[in-house]
Amino acid sequence: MSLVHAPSVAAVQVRDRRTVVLDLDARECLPRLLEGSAAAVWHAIDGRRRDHEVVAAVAREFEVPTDQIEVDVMRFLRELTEAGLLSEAP
Amino acid sequence: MTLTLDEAVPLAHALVQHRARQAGIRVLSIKGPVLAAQGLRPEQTSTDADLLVDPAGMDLLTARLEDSGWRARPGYSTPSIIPVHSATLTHPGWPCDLDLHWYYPGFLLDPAVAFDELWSRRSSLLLAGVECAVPSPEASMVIMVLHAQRDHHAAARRDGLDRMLRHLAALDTAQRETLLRFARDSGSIEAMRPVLARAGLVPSEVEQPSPQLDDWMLMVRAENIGAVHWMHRLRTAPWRERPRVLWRALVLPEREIRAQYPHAGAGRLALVGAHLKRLGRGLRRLPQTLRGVQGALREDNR
Repeated sequence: MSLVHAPSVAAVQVRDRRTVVLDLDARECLPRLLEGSAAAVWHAIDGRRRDHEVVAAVAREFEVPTDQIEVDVMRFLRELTEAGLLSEAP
Repeated sequence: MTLTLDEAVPLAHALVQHRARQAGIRVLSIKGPVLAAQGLRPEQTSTDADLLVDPAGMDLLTARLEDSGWRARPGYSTPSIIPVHSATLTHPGWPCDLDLHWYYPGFLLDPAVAFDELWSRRSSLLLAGVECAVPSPEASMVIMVLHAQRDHHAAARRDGLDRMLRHLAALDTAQRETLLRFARDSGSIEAMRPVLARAGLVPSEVEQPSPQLDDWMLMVRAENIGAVHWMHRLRTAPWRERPRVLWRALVLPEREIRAQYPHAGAGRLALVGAHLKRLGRGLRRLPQTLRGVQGALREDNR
């Protein structure tokens, strides 16, 4: 399945490798800071890539083997999805 | 997590616009990043997110934001010639405040009518990736001219006024007509007249005097603003209330005097010292204050 940023999410990137995201529907309205590889994962999600393609894109960006980061990136994608920040592309 | 202001402010605009949209409330993001996007101000860090809210929806929007942990900052009892027109909301997880205006000083019309005029000319802008309703560029210029006129002794606002004069002078004929039409429709043309006249857009003579315009002119022309507000309150209060107003002018509540003199010590003696300092400063400035009020009234009576 392809992943997309949830429509209720606002995001700001003022500096490289640092993005702040906010679920506008969440009652507690606390922004979440994504830095380094977390920000890279966020930006690799473009509405077309499937989860394993996101892993590959991040691996290419950091010039590391895919299998070295796959577990961590997949876990992070699940975490973002459970937090309501990602959804499946239509 | 350390959220910086340049990250927080666009997110705060996006948040308020989203919550307002969900509740069916009309809001416009103003100032700050809106001005930069419209080319009316260089990019600079704002310390709060300013939004103009449909007056009819202000209470509901505030309640919705309070549900999410935002809290209204207590106001001060110091009077203002121009009525209270905004509420400031703070949140422990955010470095910026929300400044929600239900009226913008200088629009000398019923706040709901002035908002309708702004809303009918709205534009939109992406802030934090969210489409936000904003005033038209001409309406933003009007807001900034009104803003810059208040307390024109502050260097920052004087710079703002100079910048707006340069923008006004650079408008082409069609843009000038659009701006003047909006200024008339929104009841702000008289409050802006001194600036528009300096830019050569209108004659300097007031066409439509009003008590609201008198108050506005008093506020923008008088020096030593704090004392002038108290004198105006004293002058306009019913006689029976004047002793109470005078007492409040002389003796501020502890929270407010400590806000003005944050370095005062903790004890009662230090508090009395802070009161005496404030009164001494007020007395030293009294001749200047009286000249300011008289000057403003004289100009208004011309």
